[in-house]
Amino acid sequence: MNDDQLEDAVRQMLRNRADAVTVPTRPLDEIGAAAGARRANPSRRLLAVAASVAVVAGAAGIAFGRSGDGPTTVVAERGGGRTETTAVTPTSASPDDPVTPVEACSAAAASVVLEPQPQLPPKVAAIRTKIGELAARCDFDGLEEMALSNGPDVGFTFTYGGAEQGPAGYWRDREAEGEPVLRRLLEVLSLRPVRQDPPAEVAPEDRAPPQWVWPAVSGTDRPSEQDWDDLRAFHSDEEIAEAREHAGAWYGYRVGITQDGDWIYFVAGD
Amino acid sequence: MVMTMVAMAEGSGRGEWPAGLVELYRERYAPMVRLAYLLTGSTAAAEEVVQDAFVRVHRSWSRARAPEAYLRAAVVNGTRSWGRRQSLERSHLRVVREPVAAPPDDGLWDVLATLPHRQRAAIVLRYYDDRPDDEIAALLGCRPATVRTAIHRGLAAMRKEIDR
Repeated sequence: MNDDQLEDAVRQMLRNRADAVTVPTRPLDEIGAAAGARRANPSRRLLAVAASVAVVAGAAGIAFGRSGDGPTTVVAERGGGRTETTAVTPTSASPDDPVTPVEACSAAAASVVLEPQPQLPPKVAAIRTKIGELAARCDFDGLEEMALSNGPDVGFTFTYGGAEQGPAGYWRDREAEGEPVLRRLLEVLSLRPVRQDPPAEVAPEDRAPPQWVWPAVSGTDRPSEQDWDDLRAFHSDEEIAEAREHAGAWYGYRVGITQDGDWIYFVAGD
Repeated sequence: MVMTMVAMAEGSGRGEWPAGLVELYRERYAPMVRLAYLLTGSTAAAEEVVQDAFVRVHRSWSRARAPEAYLRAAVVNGTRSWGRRQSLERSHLRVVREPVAAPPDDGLWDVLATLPHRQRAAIVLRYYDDRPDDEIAALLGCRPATVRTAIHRGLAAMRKEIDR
């Protein structure tokens, strides 16, 4: 069987399978009600969320989002690993809800803890904290403002596709399509980072500043077992195995911040 | 069937659903369920994914520039999320394969079901939905070259099945 014949066989198989599906007709009202019921009683999804969101309670941690029915806590990281409780939300904050989302997004329902990462330089740690705060508040515009504050010389990468809009609009659209982008941002930042130095062969005067990359598996040419293992907090064995087998690298969401404190990417894909 | 759907769609819910969305529903609900079925292998999951996708389109209707493309992206993303949930729940729930039909292509269908989501989606979007590579790349969040690689690998797996 040559390539054309194989493609024809696949095409025919797909057509046959699709044609065999009987699609029951449903009124739009019923569709809205069914989706609403799934949101109200998302037992199956909660199982997945529980398995995919690592809740690492640390006394000196930075917690964003909700944890169970309890109040949201926000503990901001300060230089030198000292921690201090801060009020993040300036609007209509109540004692039970100190983080009021600016708008709806996946991060609002996430329970992700950003523990201090003492290896980070203060500038990088501060940017990480700020990104986490903005993501936990679903502050798309605040994130965009931060991303674009680098200026055109540094830039910020949020997609490899032909985006027709800025980061905030792009992320909102992905969220509307069901991709929990801001929750992913929190998840990624909770993982272990790695420092990426410019290649030694680059002349010192031409060297870009070192970068900190989350997760570590994305910032090294030869990821270690531990690097891959870190991903298990939020990804299935199957996803990780697929990445290792087929790409040899992790092309899921990743974050890069320069040593100077410029947030330079939050992107997925290759 | 189409007439029935139109009549139902224009029933009591019309006041809450924009006319353009009703039209989109009438034209695209069944095709999207079939597309989602090819990406999940489950009619129940396909319906759920497409229903959720329509609700998302409804919520974003006022700023959706290309509703059908938006809908397709929501469906593809929904099937990917469904696949992730299946993977995570595998140890808790037994996945029951649904006997939709039994065309004489079980081998290819079975191989398709084992492919990673990106490969499966790339094959379905190209050979069933006739999408160009750059559009598939945008839907899957990768580069067109990655789409071609995914299709090549998926077809190679299918060829093994045929050559057995």
